[in-house]
Amino acid sequence: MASATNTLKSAPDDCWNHIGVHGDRSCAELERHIHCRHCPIFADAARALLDVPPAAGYSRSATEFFARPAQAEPEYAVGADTESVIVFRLQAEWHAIRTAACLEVAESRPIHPLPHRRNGAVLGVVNVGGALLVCVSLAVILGVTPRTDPPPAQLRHPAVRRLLVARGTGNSVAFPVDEVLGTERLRPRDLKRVPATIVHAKIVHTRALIALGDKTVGLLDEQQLFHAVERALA
Amino acid sequence: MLFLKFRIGEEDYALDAPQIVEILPLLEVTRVPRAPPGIAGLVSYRGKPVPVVDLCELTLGRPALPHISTRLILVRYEENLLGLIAERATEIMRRDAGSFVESGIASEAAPYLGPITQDGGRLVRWIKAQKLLPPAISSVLFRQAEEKAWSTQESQRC
Repeated sequence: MASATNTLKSAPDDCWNHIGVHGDRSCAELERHIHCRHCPIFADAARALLDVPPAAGYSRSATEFFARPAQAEPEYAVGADTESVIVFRLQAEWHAIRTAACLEVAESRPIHPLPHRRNGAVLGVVNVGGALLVCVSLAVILGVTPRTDPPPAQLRHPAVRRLLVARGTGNSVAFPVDEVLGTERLRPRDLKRVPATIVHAKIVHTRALIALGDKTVGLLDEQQLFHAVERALA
Repeated sequence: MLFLKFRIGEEDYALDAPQIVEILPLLEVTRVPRAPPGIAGLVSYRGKPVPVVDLCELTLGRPALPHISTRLILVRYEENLLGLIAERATEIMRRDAGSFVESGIASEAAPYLGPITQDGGRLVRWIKAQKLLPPAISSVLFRQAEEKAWSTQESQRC
């Protein structure tokens, strides 16, 4: 990589460093292209970086890789009986929802409150990719109580907040969540029954429990969840 | 329609995406003794031998440059796979099939050269992989591949 950068710097026509956006911006082409990265000269220079012999061992390792017979790892094969879930955090609780029920994990963004809606679950509307979506608090629906004691510093970090956009019964719904861990592929034997002794509103929304490392994650029943969302919107 | 652009020498060519199975980096090609000119040899793709044609060698008589931008394009060739070594296979373009026009120069020796379009002031020729190999070479190629597969099975059994 270092050699590639050097070639770029030593190229006789690295005009972007002299008259382009990294130089004095005197290039007449900037009028038309706005930025050097839209300019065909820049594109040609980028292409030229690939017109060099590959690093030693590159062909060898590629040859070995593509010679291997294609086979999925049996343990995590995408089979009919496995399902993918998105794991996320609300306050201190970890929950999961089927990936197929989700459309997008978006950056956290301002929620615009709706007038005359002081219902606790409906937070307002958010703009996701130009579409206005209803934003619903999962914490209220699931009865996740806000922690009274201040959460650990790493949990409070605002950068990890996300917006989970799910395919609801009618329209898509956005749920603000405190953190998204990622997706996990589950086999049926990963799912544990919810203990019957838990007397709580969220038990009806939780289909199963999953143990992930040191976390216990509640897998949400999206049918039940979306019905609850519908009721909150009504 | 999506096209993969590449170069043979100084000229631009394009393969339409439906012909292409996968674009691989330039792999190490096992030479086949006494193969006709243009046939670079065989590569093992997912455990199966695939014959490889060097487009530069086939048309210009010199092997393709061993650059990162030189890639191995796997195309469907009848019911088999065929690897094509092409220089500067780094770009794609979108074109209607209707924007290609007949060049007016049909070459008996190069029936794989299809109609022509323009891209950035340069002429781009559509390549039909199906017509790339003369029948004589094609029959040699796939017989070679079958024999190679047969002998590897034999050696495993021993």
